[in-house]
Amino acid sequence: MNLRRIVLMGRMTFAEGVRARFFGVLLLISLSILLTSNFFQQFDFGTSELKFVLDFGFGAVQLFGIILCVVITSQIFFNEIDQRTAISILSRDIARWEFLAGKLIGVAALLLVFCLVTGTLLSLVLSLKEAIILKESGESVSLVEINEVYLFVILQWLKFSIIIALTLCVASLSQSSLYTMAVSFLAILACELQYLANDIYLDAESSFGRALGWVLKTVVPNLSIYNLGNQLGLNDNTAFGSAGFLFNICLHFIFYTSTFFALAVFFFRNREI
Amino acid sequence: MDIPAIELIHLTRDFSIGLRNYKLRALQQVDLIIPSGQIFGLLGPNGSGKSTTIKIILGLIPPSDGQCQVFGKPAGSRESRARIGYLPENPVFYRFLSGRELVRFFASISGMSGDTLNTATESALDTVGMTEHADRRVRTYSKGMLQRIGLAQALVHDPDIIVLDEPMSGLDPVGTSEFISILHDLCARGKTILLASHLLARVEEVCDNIAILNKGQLVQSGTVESIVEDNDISNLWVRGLTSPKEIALRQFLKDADLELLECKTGRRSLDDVFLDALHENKKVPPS
Repeated sequence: MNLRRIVLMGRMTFAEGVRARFFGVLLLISLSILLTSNFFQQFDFGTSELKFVLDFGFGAVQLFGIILCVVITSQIFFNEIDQRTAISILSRDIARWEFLAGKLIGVAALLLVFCLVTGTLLSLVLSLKEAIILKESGESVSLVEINEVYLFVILQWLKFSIIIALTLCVASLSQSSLYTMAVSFLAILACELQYLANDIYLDAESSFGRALGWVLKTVVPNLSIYNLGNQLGLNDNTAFGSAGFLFNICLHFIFYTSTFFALAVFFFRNREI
Repeated sequence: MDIPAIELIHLTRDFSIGLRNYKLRALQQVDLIIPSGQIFGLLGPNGSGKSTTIKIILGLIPPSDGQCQVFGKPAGSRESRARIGYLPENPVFYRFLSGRELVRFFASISGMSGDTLNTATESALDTVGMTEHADRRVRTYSKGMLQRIGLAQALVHDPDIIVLDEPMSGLDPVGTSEFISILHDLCARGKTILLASHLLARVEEVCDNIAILNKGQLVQSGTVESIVEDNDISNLWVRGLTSPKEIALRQFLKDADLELLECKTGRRSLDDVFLDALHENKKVPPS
């Protein structure tokens, strides 16, 4: 293992991703939506007004983040294959898993930038809104928990990293970018609906149904556990879980990112380039 | 006896196609020795197995059967990969980098750092004549410059073997001529060059040995001279053959029981005329 080579590949992937037109356009759309979120709500006032802006912002980060993960990973992977840059790189003394690790790190770094930029803008918009509300009401109690906004975007970044590894896994198997995107989005949908597998497992009357539910709930990662938007951001005494809960989320992230990455390496090992 | 640069022994490669795993044989029992220090041409029509052979030599795909050795080591091993530089056909590198940054990236990927990296980068750029343009973005390069910077990245880790896939396709005659000159310089420095190309006239001009593949099989190999020469026919190049002398010559050959197959006025190749015209044009100062 050569960490320097992985970092080099990661840096090059990050530089390519930052210059991708799709990334720029989606980042701009996300920032525009966050900035204008206040104008979308019509009837809510007070804390619920803040809640609307917060939900709107969290939704934008989640939606555009997922799209970016799948599209950028797929684009960068297939650009390198189609333009034969991958052949020039892999014909040297670099292992295929190091090449893939560079891709994973590079796109994850890109998504971290996305999360931090959108998180910072959302915090600014919320702080501004809070100041206006407090001025109007004459109260001095803080309504927004900025730390929790950042906690939310970091949780999303963990989820995005799993999705990047999942997309790399699909890309290693498939022959086209479009197919990779379609399959990855379907897989993400299945992961977001994983709780249904748990319901099948608990409610099934036949042993076959129970076994199927168990397999599904075990194999498919539950990505909805990262969606803590309802419990974060506002100072309304809503508990979002203990430190142990966050630790479990970190374990979940490490396990599934590693598993999907290992599968990607396995499929990419003998792939013709 | 010297270890050959590349040795293919009964090399066979099958590809599985479709869900039924239908086997497509891309290479069949190819035996070939590529000696070191030569320019070797790999010829063949599309689908003949050239790219598959190159990929096996580079260690990108394993053979289904047989062996491929690079200086006695199995292709794909760390030792063999460290000794090969590769320029793909129509390379599109990271276009946002400058030429120098691109070559430095490939030097770093090859494990170089510090002063070694700087020296190797400048040396590779100098070899291909790109030092002057090294700080321009790759996206601004012409086709010829792109090929030369591609060659620089293939050379930067000082490999013993340089594999070039259609390196002259799309180059104008000047670019081709300059590229061939670089290849001769590299060969003079002891490098082995494996060149896959469709441009047969260029291959004939530049290569010492060639191999011809067709439908995955080796159909001919040897020195260029031994392959193209025809012992039954001789060429006479005569200056000042006027009409009466031609009649006398024809009669002489007839008396000697020799058949004259063709008698035509000498021609220069269009490439030579083109290059000479450009050369002459450079000498004339602009008015």
